[in-house]
This record gives sequence, structure tokens and C-alpha cells, in this order.
Amino acid sequence: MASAGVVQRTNRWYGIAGVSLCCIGAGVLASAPVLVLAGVVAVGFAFADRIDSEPNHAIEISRSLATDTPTAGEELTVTLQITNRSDSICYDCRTIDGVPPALTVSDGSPRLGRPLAPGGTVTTEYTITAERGVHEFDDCWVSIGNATGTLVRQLRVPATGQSSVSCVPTAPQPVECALYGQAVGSTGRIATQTGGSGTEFHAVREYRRGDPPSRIDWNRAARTGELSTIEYVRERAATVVVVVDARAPAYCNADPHGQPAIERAIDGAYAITEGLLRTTNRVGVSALSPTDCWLEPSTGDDHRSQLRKLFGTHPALSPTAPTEPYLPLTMLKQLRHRLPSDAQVVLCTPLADSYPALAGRRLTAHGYPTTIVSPDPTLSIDDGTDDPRVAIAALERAERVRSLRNDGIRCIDWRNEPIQVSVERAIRRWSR
Amino acid sequence: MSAFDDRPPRAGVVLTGVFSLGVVLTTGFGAIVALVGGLALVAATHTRRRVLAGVGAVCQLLGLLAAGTAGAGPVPILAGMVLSIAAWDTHLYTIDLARTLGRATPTRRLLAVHLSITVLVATLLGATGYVIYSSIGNGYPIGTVLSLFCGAVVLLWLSRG
Repeated sequence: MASAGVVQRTNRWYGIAGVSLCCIGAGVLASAPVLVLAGVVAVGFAFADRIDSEPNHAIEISRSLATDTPTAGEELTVTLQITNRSDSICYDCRTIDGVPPALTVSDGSPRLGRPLAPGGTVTTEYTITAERGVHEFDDCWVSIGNATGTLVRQLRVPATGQSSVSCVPTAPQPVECALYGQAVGSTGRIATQTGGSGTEFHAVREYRRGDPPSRIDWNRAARTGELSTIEYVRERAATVVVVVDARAPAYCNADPHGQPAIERAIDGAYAITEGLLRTTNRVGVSALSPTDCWLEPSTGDDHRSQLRKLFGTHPALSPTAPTEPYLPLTMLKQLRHRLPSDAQVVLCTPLADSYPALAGRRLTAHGYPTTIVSPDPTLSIDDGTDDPRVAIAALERAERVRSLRNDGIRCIDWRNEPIQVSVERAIRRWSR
Repeated sequence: MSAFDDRPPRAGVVLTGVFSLGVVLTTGFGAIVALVGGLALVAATHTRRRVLAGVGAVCQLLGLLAAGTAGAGPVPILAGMVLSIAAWDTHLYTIDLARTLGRATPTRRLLAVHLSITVLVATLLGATGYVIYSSIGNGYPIGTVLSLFCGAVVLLWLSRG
């Protein structure tokens, strides 16, 4: 319901008294009584400007959504109902719904302007495109004017009914990201430097009592009369923590109307997580964010559904940039203490500033091999944008990528293409 | 994402032009100046330029003054004043609608209600003035003195505020 708000004078008829005096003066000087008569009309408006009452209507707004848990990309209809609960006519009622900043209106308008009779209701509908994350609607902005439009009351009215949308992304196409050869005991798909059971030949060694007969090199035994055992490349599972850079700089984008870079980083992180889980690795998730975000590395369907929920709705991965301060060294230290000793890190970051590169170097230095997956937020310069700021940002980012690679840190430069293509290109480069 | 379209609603621009045309038709001798004023006001509504709107309104007023000093009748002058006030009000209201609701939002009802009230008030004031004017013509000096006194009081009150 409408509360006090702020009353403003529109100064609509500012100077009308001067017009009136001009008419009357000219009429007197030119002996033209009709001009004095014309001045009367102007005087009347100057008078009306002073006597019209303040608009004081009680406005009630209710909002309903077709569903409050849409899937990403789904078109969602928002219905807004505005009611005048006072006993007088509201000649000028304007409302703007508080659409969450990360959502786009795809059809219709969240703005409405109508006169409202006492007890009268007006309904409007508009469509938004659902995006990943939890989105809170803001209060509605309402402006009510009096009959002559000389006074306007502006206020914020909280809408009753649904006020948030929670959108969990659909599972992406899994991406198999090559990991470092650091692995844990359980069987997986990461090739290690040690021999054992597997499929790929590693070495031949002297037979030891207890070796399985299937691994004895019988051809060699027949030729030399000595038993020897074939060893294969041991394949093990890894513990991987996928870290998303969710600090304010990660919400950058060269295109001001486009999605922030963090959305691609989260998409990439989710696809890589799915790929790692598929190959029986233990996967955890964390974020470089002022809001704490940590999911212990694990496997299994329950863990997979937890990951889906985390990527969709965790406050640290909010669709809007955080406003709280981020403590770079403290947060990095906290992350390091949480990482299991055998973990490796996949850091998804647009590399919008130098901090993620520093984080990658520090994690590597502390024994956590780090792979950086970096969606390029400066790509619109390839589409003809010649903003020098974007060009400089692109150069700085390219320098960060080059410097990381020179330091032996794997860096996947994700350009305007499916992540799988970038990953495959990077794997080819690493295998040279 | 489509950006907010803050261009003025077409209906407002058209109505400003209609009221301005009415001013031109009622000003007779000052029609040329009123026409220039009307064009300036329409252009100002379309482009949201306040200075141009001020120039347009002054030109319309000068057109009315020229017509009045050239001996135009009370009805055309009153009609011209009512229409020029309506044109100015339409201009301001259209700019305000553009700023808050934009072009994509339907605003015709708001415009219709607001302008109806403005035109009604202006017409009532004009009619009242005309009745007083007629009474002077019929030779009732008491009414004239009383009206002048009331007008002076109102003007004094307004100038103090």
C-alpha cells in the first residue's frame, strides 16, 4: 500500500502569472480590452497552480509470475495488478515494476500509466527471459499526480505476491578438460607417471611373486626362460576443485547490454565439472567472492544435484556484481586451507584484472596445479567496436595469458566458440 | 536487452501540433508569428528542447498580442489563449511521459484525461471572462469594478507566493 513518499511541485505553470501580466499590460497600453480578457484565462491557471490539493491516494500492487522456478532461457510472464484503494479518482498513476537488473524484458513493458477510479484496478503483463540465478524483484516505483498535474507524489510500493525468480541451469554438455598427472588412489582416467594395471604400455620389469599371470610376458619367457611382468600406465582419479572468479571485476563485458563475463565462466565451470564427474574424478566447487562458497570434492548423483543447485542459485555466483569488499589475500589463504592436499584447481576467470593470475601462481606454488579457463570478455572489438578502453583491456588480458603460460601455468583462452573447441585446442598445444 | 525508449509519445507530439494549429487559425493578423511559435513548440516536443519550447510559447503569445492589438474579437482571442495554454501543457506533459514511461508504454488515456481537464478549466475561465467582458459591454460598472478588484487581489496574492 502507498506510504508517504515525496511530494514535488512540477512548476508546470511557472511564469503563467507573467504571461497574464503581459496580456493585461499590452491590453491597457494598446487600449485592447480583449487582451485583458485573455489575461484572465492565464490568471486562472496561476490560481489553479496554488489551490490544487496534494495527491494522496493509496495504491496497492500485486505481482504474479507464471512460475517462480523457470528454466534458463524460458520466457516468463509477469502480471502486475494496480489498485486505487482510496475514495477519490487518481488522475495520473504511473508505475514501474522493479525488474531484477540481470533479467531482460523481452516483450511488453514493466511501465504503466493510467488514470484510476476509486477502487479501480488495472492489470498489465510483460515477459522476461529467465536467466541463471536467484533474482529478487525490487519495490515498484509509483508516481501519482493531482488533477492539474501541478503536484506529484513519488513513492516506492512493495508488491504483494511473488517477488523472486529462482532459475537453475540445465545440465550442460560435459567438457573433458585435461588435468595434470597428479592423482589419488581410486581408479579413474588420469594417466600417472607410475606403472600398474591399465591399458597403455608403460614398462617391463622382473617378475615378482604374486603378479597376476595375465600380466606375465609369456613371449619373452619362452624366448629367454625368465619371467617378466608387463606394467601399464596406471590410471587414477583426481581431486579437482573448480574455482569461479566471482569478484566484481569478473562481471565485466565489452558490450554493456550483453551478459557479464562471469556467466560464461560459470557455464564453463559447470561443463567442466560435469566432464570431470563423468570420468569418476572427485570434484568440488569454490568461488573467489566476498560471499563464502565451498562444496567439498565428492562424486555421485547427490553431489551432481548439489552442484547444479550451487551453480544456479548460490549467492556467491549471483547474477549481479557483489558490493561487499573482497579481501584478496585473506580469501585466497582461506581457499588454500580448504583445498585437499592432493587437489588440483581449475580456475574459471575472465582475467579482467591481475588478481586471478596472482591466485593461479600462488596456488601452483603451494602445490595445487592450476589450470585457468578464461572466457574472453573483450571479444566485441572483433565485431567492429573500436572503444579504446576495450582495446587496452584486450591487450592487458592477452599479456596476462602469455605471462601465465610462460610461468608454466595452463591457460585455456576461451574465445567466441564452444568451450569444447577451446579445450581441445589447448590440449593439442600442451601435448606438443 | 532493448534499451528504454525515452522518445516522446507520438500522440503528444501530434496533439501539440493540433493545438498550435488552432492558435494559428485564431490569431489572424499574428498568424505568421503564431505559426513559427507552433512549429517551434512541436519541434521542441519531438526533440525535448526546453529553450526551443520557450521560444515557441513566446512566439504564440506575441501572435495573440498582435491579433488583439489589431482588433480581433474576444472569442478568437479567448480561443487562441485557451489553445496556446493547451499546446504548452501538452508539450510539458508529453515530455514528462517520455521521461517516466517512454514511447513503448500506452499513454493515450493519461494524455486524454489530463488534457481534458486542462481544456475544461481553460474553457471555464475563458467563459467566465467572456461573461464579465459582455457585462462591461452592457454597461454594468459595478460588476466591472468588482471584477477588477478581485483580479487585483488574485494577482497580488500570486505575486506574493
